[in-house]
Amino acid sequence: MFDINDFDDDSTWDLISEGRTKGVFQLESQLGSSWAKKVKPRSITELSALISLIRPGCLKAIMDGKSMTQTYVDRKSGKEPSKYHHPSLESTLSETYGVLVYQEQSMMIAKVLSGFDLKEADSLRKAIGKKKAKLMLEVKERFISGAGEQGIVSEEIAEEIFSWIEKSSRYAFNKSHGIAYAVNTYQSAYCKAHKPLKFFEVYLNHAKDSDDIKEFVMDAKNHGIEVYPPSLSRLFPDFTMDKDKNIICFGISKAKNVSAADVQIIEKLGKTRDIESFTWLDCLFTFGGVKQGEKLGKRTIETLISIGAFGGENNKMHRNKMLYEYNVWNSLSASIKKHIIGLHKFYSGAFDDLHAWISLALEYKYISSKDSPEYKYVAKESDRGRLVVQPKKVSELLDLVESLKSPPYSTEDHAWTIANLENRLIGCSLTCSVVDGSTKSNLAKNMCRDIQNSAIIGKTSIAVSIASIREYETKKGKNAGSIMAFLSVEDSSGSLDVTAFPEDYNKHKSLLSEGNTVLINGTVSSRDGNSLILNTVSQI
Amino acid sequence: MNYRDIIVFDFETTGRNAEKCQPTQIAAVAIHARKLKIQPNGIFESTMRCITNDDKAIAAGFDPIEEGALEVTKRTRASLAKGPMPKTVWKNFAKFCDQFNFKKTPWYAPIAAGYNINGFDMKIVDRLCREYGPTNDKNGEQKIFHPIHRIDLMQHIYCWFENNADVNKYNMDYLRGYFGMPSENAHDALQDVKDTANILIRFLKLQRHIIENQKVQFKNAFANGNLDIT
Repeated sequence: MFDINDFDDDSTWDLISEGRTKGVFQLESQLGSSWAKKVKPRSITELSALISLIRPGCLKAIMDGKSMTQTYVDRKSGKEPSKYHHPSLESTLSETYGVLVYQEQSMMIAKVLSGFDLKEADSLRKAIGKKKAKLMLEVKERFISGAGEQGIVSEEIAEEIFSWIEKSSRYAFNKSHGIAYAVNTYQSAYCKAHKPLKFFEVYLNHAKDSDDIKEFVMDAKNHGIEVYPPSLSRLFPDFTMDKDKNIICFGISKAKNVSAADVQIIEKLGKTRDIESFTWLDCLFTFGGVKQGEKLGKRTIETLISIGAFGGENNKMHRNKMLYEYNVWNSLSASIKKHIIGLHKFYSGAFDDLHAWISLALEYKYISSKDSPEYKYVAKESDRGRLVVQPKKVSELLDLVESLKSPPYSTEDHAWTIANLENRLIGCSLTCSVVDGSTKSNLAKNMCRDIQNSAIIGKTSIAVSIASIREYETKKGKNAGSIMAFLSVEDSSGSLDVTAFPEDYNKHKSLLSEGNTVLINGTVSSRDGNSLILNTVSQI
Repeated sequence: MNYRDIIVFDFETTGRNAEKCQPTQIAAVAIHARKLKIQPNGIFESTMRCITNDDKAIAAGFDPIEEGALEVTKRTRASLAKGPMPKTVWKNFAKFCDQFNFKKTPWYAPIAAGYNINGFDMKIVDRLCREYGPTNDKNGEQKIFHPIHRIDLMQHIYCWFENNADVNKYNMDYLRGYFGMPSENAHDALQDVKDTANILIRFLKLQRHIIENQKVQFKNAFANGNLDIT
């Protein structure tokens, strides 16, 4: 049963604890995901603490040589015991292992140790939070004198505790705020765990830019959901899920160079004509034709060809060939285009090749008159001079026919070209990955998704494209001060985080650049089981 | 770090004056920036029709066809009169190069490379771009290749061999012999381009090897006043 208020759902807590939090409220950043993996919350209160502790203040506030956030993690995981400035604080701070996370905890301490009423406790919160020096002095005096009256701790310890509260509370979060956020976080994680298809559909439609789209597409792949590229047979303006196939269809309006007006033209045409079964030449002569209300702009057509929208579902026409032919077609004058389109209709698409239609156009004359707006095709004319084409243009057209028959470069598709075209125009490669075409990619033992799904242990290798690199200066260990790197890599199955420690990073730095395709040999991280530690790298 | 692909190209022409010759053939290979291998779909080759009547050629602003050029390229006037027109070829060449400009901005355009391109081939590129496009709207310069970086292998080789007594000529025919490359199809544009690309790739690999293995320390090489000329 789908119940977003069921706060004991294991699959939701697993999703959060495994850091699969892209799109999850408050935890969608890399920071949120990595701390979620460390904190591993299993309740709303722990989730609230996580959300409160990943704020910049807590991450920067150093306590005994480490951040408050790290202290919380170490104490929660049992690496170090919970510590309290005074045993009297345990009841207030035990929920957060002795770390002062919430403003309400400071208020409660003041109430217990110094007998503050709620109004006075709120003054403490205001004085610290808003850094009011005068008020702070007054509250401090009241805190220490109150502690003396209560007699739980000595004045000396009260002073020490106040100074600790003062320091910690600068970064403390409002608990009611934290809990409310945590509920929202849990509910969005619950949706992702139980209705992933809908979750990704909605998020993809609200992605802020192409980078965001790419991250969501990769995350969807990691969750076993394929995103299909746009095509005339799956024509949707926005991202649309297909529940039966467990796929999401890429919204055509999200592609670069495709405007709302372009989508309207295609949609309108789809109502009157069977565009789903359009061949490449149907697309070329319709969308690249001369009829207002049907034709599309040059960049739009190039985009639609490049992302595989033209040519039909089972049409194996190479996109590069279509681009090449469109380029040739576009160099023709409107009157010749009109002539060829007329012939195409007249002969009901007798040929599959553009060069055949241009040749045919050169062999036929047509007549048009005011009485008959339609072109009438008459017998074959050997005299090309009687065509609309001027004699000197005939030579150009024959040139184009030849260049269509034997292009000066190969117009075959390769995984590399398709992936690059899709990356540029829809922000991600959906049909294949840039590494797919590489012969060396066969050397890879696994794919990103295998590791992401924790299905692999120990050493493995992956053939990937490097999506991003974040360098980081190590602070501890034998290599303190050296540069290491966190890589985000991807293949056609999804994406993966890879850690390169200083020695290995330095050794292979020349190959580790964004966009490069490499074979990475590494060891699956024993810490989280779904990332890779880099050992060696080679170019593929 | 270079992310832009390198396109090694070469023209065969009707003469030695880059401003007034007619190109008769063009060939190119596109090299993947990181892999230093030919890209899929990375070979371009086409002949180009030219005006073979010298009077008409002069009237059109070209030099007459040099007999030496015909000899070197093993072509005849009759064969030069056939083939696709320069405009068609040039548009196709521009499209070919554009495949390797991933972001479709001038700064991601492929890097032009070749043998003596600074002195010859780039001038023809500029001329053909002015005539058939594409050009930069702001300055009218060619827009096929990267606006700044280009690799002229002849200059590159000069720097490597200026202190080598064995090498006293810097033309491609001499270097083919020096490097032990076959010369059967020399002066066929595609063969010349492949030879140039092979030499270039070998030098780039050598340089990468030197840097990756830290054989030479470039960083701070002139620090502490370590200068030859002060």
